Amino acid sequence: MSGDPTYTDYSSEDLLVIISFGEEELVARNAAFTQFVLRFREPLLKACELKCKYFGNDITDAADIVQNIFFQVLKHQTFDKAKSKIKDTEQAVLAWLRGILKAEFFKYYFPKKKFEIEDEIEIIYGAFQGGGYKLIDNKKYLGVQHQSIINALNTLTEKERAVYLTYREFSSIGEYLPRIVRQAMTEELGLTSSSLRVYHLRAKQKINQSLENK
Amino acid sequence: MNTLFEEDKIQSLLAVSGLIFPRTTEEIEIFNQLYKNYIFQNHPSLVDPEMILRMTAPYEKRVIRKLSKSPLQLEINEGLQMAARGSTNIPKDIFDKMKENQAKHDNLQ
Repeated sequence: MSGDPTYTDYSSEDLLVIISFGEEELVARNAAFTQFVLRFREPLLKACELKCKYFGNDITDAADIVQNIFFQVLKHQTFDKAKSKIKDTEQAVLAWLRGILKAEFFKYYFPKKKFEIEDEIEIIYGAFQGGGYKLIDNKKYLGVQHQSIINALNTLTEKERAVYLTYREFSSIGEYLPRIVRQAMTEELGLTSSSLRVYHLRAKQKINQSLENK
Repeated sequence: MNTLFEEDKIQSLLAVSGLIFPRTTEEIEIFNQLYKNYIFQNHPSLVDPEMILRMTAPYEKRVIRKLSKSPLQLEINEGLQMAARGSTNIPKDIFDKMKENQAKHDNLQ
């Protein structure tokens, strides 16, 4: 099927197309999948380890969670560029993977909560618009800003932090959490849906206030 | 409100700091820069494509420790602060001390 059995020169989208052939093209599927894993495993693993660490979870969970992400890619390859709002295909693949990462991270710690198809689609395609971000490129400045956001988060109570960071993770384009995540949060924190929103609003105000006063 | 801290910027800062997952290749690059001197414990080889090809079901957490009941550990280590300040030439004795502190901290988890 290919002159390049390692598929190193293939775009990530093309690798996903080959992966979707499944067992009908087993050798090609496995080679493309291997290349896809090698391409994305390190950034996913680093991000996951750090998130585990910040949230007080066992950092060795990160490898399990990332393996689960690629397992989902292998078994249920659903990437569809046409559904993505992001023009750049590589960025779109990354956003799609990030959606799976969020879902798998959540599922790992809330195994009894079953994501429904529409939840996953909402997370994968709705939670990220992409483009237009003017990022900080000065390391010294970034260090100061990084410390500011850490300090701001430290002004929140534990519940407020959990609510705030969950909203920021899952609802970057609005104020709505996927239903299943909202349910898990309310059960876990002993809050109603409306008090969850109040906690979020209060946390946002505290963060803004802290950043203004820095 | 300070325009530097608009929603998008806060979101980006959280992402490059690892408090939420990075969203773009650009954010991943800055994340990598920020954590350049941070010693990650999970080696990439732990995510083995051959092993995943043999998996029949996702891994499950044996001992559930729910996210929101854990304290958020928001301190940044000395190495990260130095890296953030752009200090690329960290003396060996300081670097060894950082590694030692990191190991102690991880053992306490």
